[in-house]
Amino acid sequence: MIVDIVGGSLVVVGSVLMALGAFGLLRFPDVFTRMHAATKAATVGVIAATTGASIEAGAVGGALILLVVIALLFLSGPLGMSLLARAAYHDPETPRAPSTVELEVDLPTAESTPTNRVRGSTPLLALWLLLVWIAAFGSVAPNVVVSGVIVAAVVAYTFRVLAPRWPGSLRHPVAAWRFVAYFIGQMAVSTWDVILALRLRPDQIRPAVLEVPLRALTRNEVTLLMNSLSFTPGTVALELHEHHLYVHVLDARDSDRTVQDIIMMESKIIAAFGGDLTPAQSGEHR
Amino acid sequence: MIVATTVSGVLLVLAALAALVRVVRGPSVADRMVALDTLLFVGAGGLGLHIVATGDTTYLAVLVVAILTAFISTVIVARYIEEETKR
Repeated sequence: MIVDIVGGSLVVVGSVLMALGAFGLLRFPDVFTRMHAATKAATVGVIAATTGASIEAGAVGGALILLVVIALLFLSGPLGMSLLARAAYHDPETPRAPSTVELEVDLPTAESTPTNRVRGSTPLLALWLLLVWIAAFGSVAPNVVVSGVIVAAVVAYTFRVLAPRWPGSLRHPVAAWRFVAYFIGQMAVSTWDVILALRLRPDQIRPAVLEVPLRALTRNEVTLLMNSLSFTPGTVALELHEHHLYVHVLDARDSDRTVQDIIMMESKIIAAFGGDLTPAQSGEHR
Repeated sequence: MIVATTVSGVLLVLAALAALVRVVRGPSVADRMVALDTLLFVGAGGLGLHIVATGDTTYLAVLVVAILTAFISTVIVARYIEEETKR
């Protein structure tokens, strides 16, 4: 009974957020502002709905699916949107909202930077694949686990060039939890900001592109920052170029606050995962 | 319960319609891609609603597939736009 009520209300909340996000697709003036609606309201909505459904499913299947879905939404969602935003920004044919406050400096054009590939960890990739496999079957029966181990090992070995590296050692667990709490708070604020922007007439929205200098971050930290930024109030990461981050913000009137938020997020990430402010080696960046 | 599921059902249908209008109207490829992503999310939401309303969890794993598909298609379209711009 209580499960039904919690699950049901989460699905209702999710539907409301998705409806607002989809409404933003219609109302916002250009593709970048529409991305704000899609990455914030709609993503938070789908998280709420999935949580509701997983509570209903319960036990191994539900919890694992929820874990995999949330991991996918946080890791891949913002990454995909950033890539799309960058591609659309460099395309001169993309219509921009007439009210956009343009950047004074030119955004560096996308060039394929040679990345010295650092060898990733194949076991990490295999572990992740196994997790998805178990989640998809929703059981930890021996035959599922054994077949999962075999498939994960073969696939991870075949695609080992794509394997991610282990995230940096977690030296500051308390700071990491603080980052997670801050992040969840920012996610709520940013969703609320998008909802508030829906009241405005399309020509009242003042989107802008901001340039934010970054401190020295390792590749993992930059990835985490760019991913997190897609959920912080009014930002979609556009481009990263020589320690400068370019973000699209929904409302230029808040740009001071937005820059503060980005620097705050960066500090939290460094506090949790880095602690080392010396410049990263040039292969390490990006 | 029946009120809650009906309300979310109606909201999801409205969301899907809004996303579809954006897919049709565009104007750019990126616009359509963002709208299609949202449409897929709304579909995932509808699946969540079905699970909560009926208690039938058979299709829970489809949520994972839906979200993965959204990511992969976004990346492919982003690469396509980039290559088109270079020409």
